[in-house]
Amino acid sequence: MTFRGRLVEPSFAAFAGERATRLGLDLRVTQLTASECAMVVSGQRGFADAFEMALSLGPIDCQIDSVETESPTISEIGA
Amino acid sequence: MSWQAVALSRDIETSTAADLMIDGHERVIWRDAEGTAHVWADRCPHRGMRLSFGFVRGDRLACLYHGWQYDRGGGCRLIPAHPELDVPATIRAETFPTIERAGLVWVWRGDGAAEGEPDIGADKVTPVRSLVIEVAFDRLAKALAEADAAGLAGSTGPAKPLLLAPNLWRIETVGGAIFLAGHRIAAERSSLHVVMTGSTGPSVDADAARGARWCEALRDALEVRDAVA
Repeated sequence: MTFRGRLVEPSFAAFAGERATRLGLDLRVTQLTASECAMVVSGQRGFADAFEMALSLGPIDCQIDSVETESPTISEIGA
Repeated sequence: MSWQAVALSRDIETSTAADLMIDGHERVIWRDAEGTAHVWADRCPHRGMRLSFGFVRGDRLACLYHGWQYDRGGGCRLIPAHPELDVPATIRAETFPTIERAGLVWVWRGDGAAEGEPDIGADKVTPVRSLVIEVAFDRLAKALAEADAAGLAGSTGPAKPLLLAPNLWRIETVGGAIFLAGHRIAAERSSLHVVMTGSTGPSVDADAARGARWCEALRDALEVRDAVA
């Protein structure tokens, strides 16, 4: 998932980490700047969708303008 | 750290939920179908909706918003929109140690595990009433320390409420006692939960009414004094 907009990096990273923990997801942030955060999320699909929704709304000091998601390829998930 | 009474047991009906403010924090108090009372943070972990708007379903509290259901321990057990999901233990409502003793619902005030159990020295009580007083809790405590309860005690001399704990007072009556358990709702708002012992038979309603009137007079005096000031 890649979130783009106006990000306060520590705030966004903390929010993502807290939400991922709550939803039982594994989270790996691959890029984090003031305008973009890219991450790899793994876990149950329904909770990954909920994670995307939550991060598209918050935290309050960040504004997300767009979200880009892509599912992993079979080779990426090692199947 | 201590237990504090936050409601009369009688007032929390089975399979209902209600909002409650304790020390400025929003809480939900609910009683499951088997009769056990619970006090939690009044906030669904999903989207922050007040759980006090929700519904009790057996031994679970269901959020009004999306129907997420939480078991007695606060753990989420069902997400209706995604029944196939195995809900992780990390999705849980914030719970607080809660116990019922002497006709009162008590909540542990402090971090960590609760210690001991609340004990007012009586188990068989008659609930009188709860009342909200628009005054800071320390002013309420001061007023109780100075109050004359001779009318309740049935004595001709002064009778002061006896402080049993920082938020619990006892007034001796003829053949029994009235207990006043207080909790701080917010900065300028307090609550008293009143139960009595020793009264039985046909006089119980009159005795309860007398106790209630004494508390109401205390409330009125405090609120009028604040209004004048």
